[in-house]
Amino acid sequence: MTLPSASAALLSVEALRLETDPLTGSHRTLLHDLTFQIQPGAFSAVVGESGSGKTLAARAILSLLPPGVRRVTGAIHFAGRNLAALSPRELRAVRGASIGMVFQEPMSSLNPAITVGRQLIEGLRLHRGLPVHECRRRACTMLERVRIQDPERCLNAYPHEFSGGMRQRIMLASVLLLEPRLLIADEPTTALDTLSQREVLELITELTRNANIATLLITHDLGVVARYAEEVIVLERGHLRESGPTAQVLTEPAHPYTRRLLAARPHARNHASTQTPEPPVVLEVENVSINYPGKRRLLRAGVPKQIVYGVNISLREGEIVALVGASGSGKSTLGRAILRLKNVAGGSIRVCGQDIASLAPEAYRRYRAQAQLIFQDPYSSLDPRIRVADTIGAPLRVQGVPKNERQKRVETVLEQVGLTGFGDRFPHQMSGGQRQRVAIARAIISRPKLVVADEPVSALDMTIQAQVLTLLQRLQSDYGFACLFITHDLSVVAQIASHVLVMSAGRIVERGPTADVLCRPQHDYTRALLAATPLLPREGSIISDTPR
Amino acid sequence: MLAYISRRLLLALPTLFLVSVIVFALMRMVPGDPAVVLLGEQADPATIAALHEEMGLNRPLPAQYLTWLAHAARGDLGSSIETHESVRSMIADRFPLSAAVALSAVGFATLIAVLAGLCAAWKRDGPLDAAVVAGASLVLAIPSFWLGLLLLLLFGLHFGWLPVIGYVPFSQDAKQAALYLVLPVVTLATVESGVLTRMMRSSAIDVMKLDYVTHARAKGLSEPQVLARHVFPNAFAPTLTLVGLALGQLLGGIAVIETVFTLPGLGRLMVESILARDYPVVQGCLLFTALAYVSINLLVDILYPFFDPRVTAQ
Amino acid sequence: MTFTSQHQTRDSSPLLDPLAQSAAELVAAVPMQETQRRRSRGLRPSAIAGLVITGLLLLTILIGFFHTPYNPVAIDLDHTLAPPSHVHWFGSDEFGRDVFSRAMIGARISAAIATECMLSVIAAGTLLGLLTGFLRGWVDRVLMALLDAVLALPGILLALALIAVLGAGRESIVLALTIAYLPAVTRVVRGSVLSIREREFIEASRVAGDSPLYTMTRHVLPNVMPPVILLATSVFGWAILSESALSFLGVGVPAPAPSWGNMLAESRPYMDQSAWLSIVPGACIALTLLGINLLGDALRDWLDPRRDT
Repeated sequence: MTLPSASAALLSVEALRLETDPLTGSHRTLLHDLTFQIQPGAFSAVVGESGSGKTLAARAILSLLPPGVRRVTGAIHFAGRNLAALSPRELRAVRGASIGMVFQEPMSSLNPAITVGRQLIEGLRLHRGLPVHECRRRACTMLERVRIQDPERCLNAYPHEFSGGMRQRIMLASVLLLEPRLLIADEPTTALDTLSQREVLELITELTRNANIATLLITHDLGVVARYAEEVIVLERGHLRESGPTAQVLTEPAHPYTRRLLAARPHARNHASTQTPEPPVVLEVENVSINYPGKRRLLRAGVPKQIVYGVNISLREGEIVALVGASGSGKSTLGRAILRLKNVAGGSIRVCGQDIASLAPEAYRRYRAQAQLIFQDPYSSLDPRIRVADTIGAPLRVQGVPKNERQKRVETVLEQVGLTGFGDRFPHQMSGGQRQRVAIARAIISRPKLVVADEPVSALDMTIQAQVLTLLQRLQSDYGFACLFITHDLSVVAQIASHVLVMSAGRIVERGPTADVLCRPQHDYTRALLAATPLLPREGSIISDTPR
Repeated sequence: MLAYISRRLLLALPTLFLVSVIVFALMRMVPGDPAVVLLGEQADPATIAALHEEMGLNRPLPAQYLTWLAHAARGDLGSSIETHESVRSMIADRFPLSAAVALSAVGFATLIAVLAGLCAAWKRDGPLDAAVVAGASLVLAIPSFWLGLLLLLLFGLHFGWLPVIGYVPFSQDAKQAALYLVLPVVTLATVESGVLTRMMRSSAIDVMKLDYVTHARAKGLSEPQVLARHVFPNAFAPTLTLVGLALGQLLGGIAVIETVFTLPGLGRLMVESILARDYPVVQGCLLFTALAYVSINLLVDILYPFFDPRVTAQ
Repeated sequence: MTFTSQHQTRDSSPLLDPLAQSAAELVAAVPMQETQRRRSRGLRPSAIAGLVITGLLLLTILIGFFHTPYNPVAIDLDHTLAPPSHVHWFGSDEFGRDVFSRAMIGARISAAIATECMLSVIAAGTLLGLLTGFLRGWVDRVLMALLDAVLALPGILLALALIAVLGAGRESIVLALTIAYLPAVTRVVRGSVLSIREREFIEASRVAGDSPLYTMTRHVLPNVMPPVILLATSVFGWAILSESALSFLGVGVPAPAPSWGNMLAESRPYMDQSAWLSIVPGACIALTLLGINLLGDALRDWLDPRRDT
């Protein structure tokens, strides 16, 4: 990194090495001699996949390492002092007042047992010793700046009354109240939906820029780095791979790992127009509405809550259609209804011409072979007590395929997903990406006509995501099934789907060929979604990027 | 909050109702003529016939149950076969002592559990933690009646510091009464503190892994401040549930302690009346105990939101 | 009153820790051998202690089938209340009976009752828990309401009342304790079933076309077993304790058959003369419970979800 002398830097980390505590398990180095600097007021990002050590590095700055991890060597200079050499009391004075930290999980980032107000003013009272009413006044002002309505009421409310995005903003307010010189944000938006993500990141940028607060953003999303960060540090498995100005690193990456990360981004491609004659229709969703049963009151049944309103979808053989929406839009529920995992309150669903609500036993068995589902969470979709081969072969067993043939087909499919020889393993012996490939194998083994993929790559690391997506595309073209691809990530849509359906609050608000919808969005929601999806500077023309 | 409380109250009613059915059924399961069972073998036929009428033994079973329930709801629990005292007054006499012992024991146990559990979680994997875990495990294994006997042996007989048998009512001589209660309370408190400490420690450890605790430290709070303000309320909630359960179980388990220390409490009354086949007393005690249990649960339900406000939203 | 079901227990904490997840990923990437090696590196000292104590108990019971130093019910009025010596290792009681032999047979009796109780409660509780957790609906509500009502009567009192009605004897004790513990066991199994139902592999089973019965037996039941096994050790411990308490109160194992509980009760009049009479039976109970608890803890660690990452 070309920088002025280290003494001008606000934060200077030198040769930081973190290891696991030898008492609690095997000895492993988690961070290898990390060295980097942050200038006053600059926006820097640390990017890496899971296991890269980025979160640990951030926590090490404030000596907030979890039990079982310790700092072996390294200096952490902040405003002239070595934080690593401070006494606990001196460190406590630095925490909050000079360096503030925001965390990832909105559900557990605020203490559910005390009011928001008390949590907000706690730091202020501790470090500045101001009287309560003055703290509350400042807290209200800060809440307004993070765009929380009715700040007075918010102070007296409890965290569980707020949504995830609001909680993150409250936490931001609580940290910025103390006017620190450095803000560390540890994946603050990973658990939020796309629109909230953008809100929070924009807020962070705006507030820190106005107050000349330096920001260190920990993230796994290169798009976010491209849009917001001036400097970037790339970590892999605890090693510093590359660092420098964002524009430079992302357009001319020096290290192979950085290049791999960049290549793993979903890239748009042109989708061939449908050939004539048109292939048969595989899925028909007609005017479907779905309800939640509603909370049971004491004696009366609960009022049902409607989630999906009169949705129409039509899928032909060989097509990949994406269903895009935020969490809570009803897209997952719709996907499950197609597989008869949820009941439909109104309308009808037909798979290969059959109405799935009324199937004779023989037809029901055939339906189960024709329609399959790939689940989102690779850690929950496989029975931990059953071997991989048996899990994959389950659909065939139900169809009555004899054991020998079953075994052969399982082996074939394992080869196709690149897991040859994994048949005897149990899920806990495999990584997330491998488990997801097992889930895919299970879904295609019965040679279905329709596969619903419910956010199949959302829970995976970037490089693994790319692998799995490629695999899915290849299998789809080999097997020729129709695929309803449910996702919240528009960049994935650009790569994989020929058509897209945009869903919001239970309704389909826009539909059409991918290129049309993404380049010329008609509906406000689609436009907001597009604007909120951060992209790299040199991404294809199919989606326009709004620069910082 | 009010809606939450009334909901819990409403949910308690079916339980009470079912309990009354169970208690009624239990007593009817005793072989023989219920009137004879109630009056004893020695009663003369005329009295038996009169009771037949009153209890409506010729009428269908549900009707008999309703009559009995109606009496009970008014507070009329019948009279003891042995002493002919009103069951209600017998219970009223004995209950305060049992309650005093149980409440003080659980109170002390909770205090110990909170302090020990939090400290153990704070200095996790250190020598203090190991000592607390070992202590709790040991205490969990000790039967209350054995501990009581041992303490009696040691402090009552061997050292002679504390009285061994009997009891003096509070109204008569408060200081003496307290002395009589020291050993029973200490015994119970020790035994109960085992399971409560383990619960407090494990939920404190779970809570300390959460983001908001790290966030509190990141704000610059000292560890004791973090423990008191952020860890304790959240970790205490599950322990509170356990405290309620322990109190509930003690309503019966105290019988054993009262037997060891020969205290005239409700538990001993129950045991003695069962052994003596004094069914009205048994019925009355069971009903009363169930009522007390439901009330304790209700109290815990009311206190719970102070430690975990999320439950009111359900 | 769904009192206990409302509040989260430790095992069902839904709160996430991103740090743990990244550490878990680290572990997951580690090759198979290392995780295996770590698990079998050795047991903690407390686990070993638990195994040793339980082993000792089993050995005592086994030997007791064939031989005890003295006949446990044989009266010897010449040697009453003798202190421990090489003649009577634990001394003799007020009837001259050898305390050591009585303790050995007491172990067998208590263990037998506890085992019977544990097996019936676990069997019944698992069945009920599976039914209510899997089927839900009115079956769930009615059964839970009934069990809640049973829960409202404290265990000891319920057992006492049941024994009073059914008459004394071993079968009554087992039945009484089974009914007393049924609500708790059913609750735990039901809670476990409810959380497993949420896991996606259950839905995957339906999508594959499995019948609900198949899903319940092949997918739900095996995943419910670990907490049930743990619960079984706890129930065994509670049963030993309860049987001792009932015997102490005089409604458990009837004299002259020895049970640690009734031995304690009988020792009370002679406390000032022979302290060991009060110490020995209680120590047996405490030691047994300690062994069971430690074993249960070791079992819990071994069955830790770390295997499922």
